[in-house]
Amino acid sequence: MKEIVLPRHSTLPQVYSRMFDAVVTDLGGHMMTGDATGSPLDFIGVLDIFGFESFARNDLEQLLINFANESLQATFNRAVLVAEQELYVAEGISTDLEKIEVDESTSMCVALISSRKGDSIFRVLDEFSKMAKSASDDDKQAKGDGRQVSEIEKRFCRDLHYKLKKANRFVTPPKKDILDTFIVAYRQSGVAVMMCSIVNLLLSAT
Amino acid sequence: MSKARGGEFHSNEDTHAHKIKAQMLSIDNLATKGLYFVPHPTRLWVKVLVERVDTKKMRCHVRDVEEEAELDLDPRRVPFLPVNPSTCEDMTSLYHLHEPGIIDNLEQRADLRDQRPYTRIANVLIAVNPLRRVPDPDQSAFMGSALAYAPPHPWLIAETAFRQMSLGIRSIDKARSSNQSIVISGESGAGKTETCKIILAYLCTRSAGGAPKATRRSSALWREEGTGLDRQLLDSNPILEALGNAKTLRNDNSSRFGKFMKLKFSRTKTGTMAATTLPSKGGSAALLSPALAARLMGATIETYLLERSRVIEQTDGERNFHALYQLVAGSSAHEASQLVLPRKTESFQFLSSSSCRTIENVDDAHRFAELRAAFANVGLGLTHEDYGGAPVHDSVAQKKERQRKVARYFEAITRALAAVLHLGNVTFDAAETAESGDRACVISETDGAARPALNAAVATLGVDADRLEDLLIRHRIQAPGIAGRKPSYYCKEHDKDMARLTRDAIAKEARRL
Repeated sequence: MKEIVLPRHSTLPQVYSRMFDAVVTDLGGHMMTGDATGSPLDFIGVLDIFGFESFARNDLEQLLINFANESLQATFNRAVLVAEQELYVAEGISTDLEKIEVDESTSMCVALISSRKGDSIFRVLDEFSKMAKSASDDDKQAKGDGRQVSEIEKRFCRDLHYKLKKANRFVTPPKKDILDTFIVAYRQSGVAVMMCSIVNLLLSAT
Repeated sequence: MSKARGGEFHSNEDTHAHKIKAQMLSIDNLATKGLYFVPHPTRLWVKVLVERVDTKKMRCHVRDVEEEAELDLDPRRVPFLPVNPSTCEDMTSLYHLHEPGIIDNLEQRADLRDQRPYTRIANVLIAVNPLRRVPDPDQSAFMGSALAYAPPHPWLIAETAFRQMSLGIRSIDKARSSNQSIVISGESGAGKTETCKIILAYLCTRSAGGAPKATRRSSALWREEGTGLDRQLLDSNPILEALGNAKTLRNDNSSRFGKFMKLKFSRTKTGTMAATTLPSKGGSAALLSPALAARLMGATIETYLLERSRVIEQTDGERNFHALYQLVAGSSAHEASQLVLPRKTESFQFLSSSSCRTIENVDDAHRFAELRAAFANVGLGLTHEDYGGAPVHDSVAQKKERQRKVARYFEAITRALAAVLHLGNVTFDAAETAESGDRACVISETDGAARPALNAAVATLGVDADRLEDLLIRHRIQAPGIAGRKPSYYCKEHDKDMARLTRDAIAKEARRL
């Protein structure tokens, strides 16, 4: 008798998150007093997102969390620093200050992960998850429960390293990890580096 | 306390180096007995005291003030950045504005002896998590007062947003609405969720007209004086936290999801609003105008990306979602028998794979009681008709009926939680007929606990036992072991079916409410 990998492992989280979503929906539905006037109300939005996190090995979840953070920072930079300076220029206000340089590291990161124009992690991931979807069952089965890397994941990793080799913020991992890992450097100083394990990344993305 | 990390301020290395270079002092400008920051390979920046300057050899003899080490440095190669004479509440007024200056300012203000966790840079608030309660400032310094003298605090951000919205101040990009956004971001454990709560509580109090009882905790304030909606909004927090937060290695109460709340206001011309009821210190005419009166009319919550894999797997030392432990620890005897729950977290695989099962200073049973109360306060399970307009004046029967509905909703949630726990204990054996592919596995017979766990899940979900079992084991196809690897199993359509079944069961429960 062999222990079987339980598919409940993919189902139960879904059940849990559906319950969570249901509660959130009900909470939201609950807190609207029917406004009789029907005019759109002014609102104050409060956004509380997950913070940057990086573990020894990271998954799609961390990639997305950190991507969300970077996008937000890039949006903030654009909205506050760039827009403000443009407004100064438009209104002819001259300042003695030199132009404030917007921190480019965030937008570089965002581009590395999500650029639509050039190669990006999401783009390669997209291509490969389509392939993974239509890949033969054998290929998927071979992956099974193990933490081993399947053929398609190897190809994904190779492709990723090949296409993004020269991209900003894309760091080549140590040789031993090169088959199943890619690294995103969120800051130049190296305090915020994320090693992404590609095992399960593809399956999570399909 | 986590040290402020300088790397966060880095930008592109070239521009960064360029900026530092621009601020570097030449040896002629270095003052003997002056304090400077110099870069350090591991401590990022260190403060040094200049002892001697040798302009001929271009050497500067300095003492590292923290480590008492003496060293010789060449100011042409090592940047010396001057230390600020004092700390600032608003860092735009720092005398020397550079990276180590900002970090040092934050660090000194966060010093334990006189902890001031909040600092600002113009309209951006920076919080260094004090990891303990610090006294609240005087609320009247914010409500209806001139904000120029208000100390940096989340209330300041909230008040500013409230005013700009109430006064219809348009954002600089000339967008049509005067909607405001407050973005709370930071590393895991930085204190985002707590800050969010502080802001929400303030906005609720503000909307209710404000009550400047500064000595009391803001939470106590809204509990006593909040209107129905305020209370619902603030009570939604413990619900979200129980279901969506967990203990991680960095943080005992880490949100495992993102959240966007929209607090919707309407402007009211009547009513006693903060500006008119408060002694306004130098408040402008605009502050006293009725336009500032805005009332909380509703709230919407959106959540993003719940870390659902946590249900089945946690890093050692972390926990599953709070609610699961709370249910096991805090359910009543009646509930426990209904849900077939043993009182031990060890009984459940999902709760015992990590060595950490409790949180210091947190009583899960007590939290469960709070969770139950929160569900009741929010009134989940009720529809708008149930309120019938004036909740204060309805009959005992109506009240009873409402309580019953709320209790049933809560019960549905506990059923779902218990089912997840039970299903986690169901294990499988490979079946003899594995090669035929159809039924590749069976509910484990060798594991004596598997069958009872399945039965318990059936009981809690109220679904058909055979169907649940069938869904659990159907469509499981064994992959032959390739190249000496263990054979593995996978399933195809089955995930969706199972999810649908369980979801339907939950939905059914919910609909019966």
